[in-house]
Amino acid sequence: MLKKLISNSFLKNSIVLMGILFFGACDKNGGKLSQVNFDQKPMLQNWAQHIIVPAYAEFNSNLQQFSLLSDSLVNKPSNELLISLQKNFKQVYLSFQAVKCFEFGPASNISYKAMLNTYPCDTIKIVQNAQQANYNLSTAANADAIGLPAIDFLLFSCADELLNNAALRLYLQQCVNQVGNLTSQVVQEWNNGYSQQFTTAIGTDMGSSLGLVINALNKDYELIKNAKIGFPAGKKTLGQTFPNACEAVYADLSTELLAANITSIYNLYQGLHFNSTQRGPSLQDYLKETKISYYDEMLDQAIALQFEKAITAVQNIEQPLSKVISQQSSLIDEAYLEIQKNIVLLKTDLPSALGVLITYQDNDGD
Amino acid sequence: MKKLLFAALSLSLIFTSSCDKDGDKDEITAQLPSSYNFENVNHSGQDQRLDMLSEIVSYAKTSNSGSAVNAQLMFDMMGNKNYQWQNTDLNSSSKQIASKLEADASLVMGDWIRLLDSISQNPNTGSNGVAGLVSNQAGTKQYLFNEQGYELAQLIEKGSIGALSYYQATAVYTSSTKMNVDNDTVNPGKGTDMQHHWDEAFGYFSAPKNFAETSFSYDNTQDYHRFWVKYSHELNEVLGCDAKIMKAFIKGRNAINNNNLITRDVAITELRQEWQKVCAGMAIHYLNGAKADFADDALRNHQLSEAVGFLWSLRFNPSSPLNAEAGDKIIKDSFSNLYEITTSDINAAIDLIATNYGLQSHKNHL
Repeated sequence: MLKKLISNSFLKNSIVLMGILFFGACDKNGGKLSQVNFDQKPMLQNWAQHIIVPAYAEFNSNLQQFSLLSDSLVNKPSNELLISLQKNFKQVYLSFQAVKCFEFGPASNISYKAMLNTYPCDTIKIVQNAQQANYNLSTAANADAIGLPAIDFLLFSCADELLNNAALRLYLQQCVNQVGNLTSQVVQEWNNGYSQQFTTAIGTDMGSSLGLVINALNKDYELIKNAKIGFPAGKKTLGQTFPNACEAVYADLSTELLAANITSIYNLYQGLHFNSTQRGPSLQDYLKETKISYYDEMLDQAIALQFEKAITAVQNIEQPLSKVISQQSSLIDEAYLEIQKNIVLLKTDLPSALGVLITYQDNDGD
Repeated sequence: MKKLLFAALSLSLIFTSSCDKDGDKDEITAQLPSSYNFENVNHSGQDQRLDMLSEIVSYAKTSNSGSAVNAQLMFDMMGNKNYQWQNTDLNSSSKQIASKLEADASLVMGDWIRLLDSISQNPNTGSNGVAGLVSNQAGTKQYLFNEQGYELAQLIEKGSIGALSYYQATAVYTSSTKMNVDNDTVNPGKGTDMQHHWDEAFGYFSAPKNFAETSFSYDNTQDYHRFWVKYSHELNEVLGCDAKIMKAFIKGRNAINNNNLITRDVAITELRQEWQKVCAGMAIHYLNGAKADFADDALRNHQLSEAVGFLWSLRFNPSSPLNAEAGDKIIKDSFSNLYEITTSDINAAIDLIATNYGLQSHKNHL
């Protein structure tokens, strides 16, 4: 009897084992097997319907208003219009922070982030382009003379010249129109089919929406650390600082944009509907299901907590980064450190917990 | 007890069959060996040429750190004369690369080598219209570009694996001239003439004989991690190309062993089809990379140079949908100046390549 019991349970175990083995053999994702019982589709729907598409819509609508103002400035320049444009610019740039981490699909297809936000801009090239008038704003060579950084420079550093120089106003208008057109393209693709494609690409492999989002999120978060604060603060240059390399250096928005960018990634992580406190199925829920811990807390909570610490540390800076970054203030070091702490969690622990590969680094080493 | 066992067996069958994605269990496939472990395989000549190419490419890439490259020295390396190899095993070799390059390509390669020599002499900082060294924004990588942004070292590397390995394997050793030969007389250590020619083609792919076998684990610290094996493996996640190419090689050699020339010819077709997907796929892979790094002159132009190297190489496969003329037209239309390129130029090239090589559904994931 005892013998029978043992062999029976052995057999049952073998069956289970065989099943696992064969499942394992089928797993082509290269990552670990995801034993988590989590329905991805509602999360992808939440992302598309309540976060990504509304964020693009908001940015697009802000841009349309902004574009009308810049059209008016070209036709009838006035100090009043210029001030309106300057005021509106803040909202435009802030709402861009809510879409810039979605660099996949329609956005990556047109190098959206590079076209809209390559900074520091080349101010000499901008003025030369405007004077020569035969520019093609779509070339790679002009990537640092267009987009939001060029608009920042023209509106805030060339205010007087703008009122007196039709060529500069025209250049401003061209830049604004380009940002508007590129954004409309992305919005249209999301509305005409890409949302559907996105919400049905379930799984963890390279083409899956989860894989795309986790890669894009990480790439953007690393850019926050390096471009928004690390490089200007001299973290890669032996402490030699570059205040002019800050984002929106002329409009003095660098700290606000930094906080907004981290917040938008944190909101995505929590599944928060755009501009709302309502939560939908999220990356955090997904991670919670894995029940993976990180030291003495759960991984999903560790990441959330670290987002909050980073945002608080950035808010503590209060003044624009570009104004204070050369003062070697401990507030900046602390913000950089808190931002950096989440890199390993987001880039290593999160993808490995969900069985997703980080593929965006060209690691062929040549 | 028996029922349980039966259940276990059928479970394993279910899981096994769910893994089989090819579904073409024809008689020949069923009998195919799982590795290229045949008798009398000798491709030492190919191994030596690829070892030479490794050293040539390393030398060409010293230009990226500001060293002058001497064209005559590179010609000597290519021709294996007046040159002492650092890899001393090669000093007794009678093999050379120059005479094995496709004839038209050989002239182009010569021009590239002379151009690399000329721009590598005391280079300054490069920019649009000025040949010289260009660093990436992070300051971690540096490449030598010509006036149009081309990294000659990349053209030479990717062009060589095209005009040498890819050409010799798909167009020479698997051609009727090399295949309609004796298959009766076994030369010790080399097999029949037909077997030997097939093995030489395999040598140019340069995979370990158990590459892509179920038990094979790819290790990028091994010597085989270079050239076509490396690139095939880079795309394997998306294309499953490692096993497909190996299967074609194994199928062909097995058919030759059995003197089954019909199956051998099927294998030739499969080999050319699968291999060209890797060549086309790598071009698209680097074009996607260039879009992701669009605003970074160094990273963008480096990847575009790699992409153009693969695009240029497509012509060497006799089954290529795009011939030399069509390939040159894409290069002229989209890549005349890598600094002035637009994302539309890049996307036009991606679409042409993807459409012609059956990669439309994969183009965003390569």
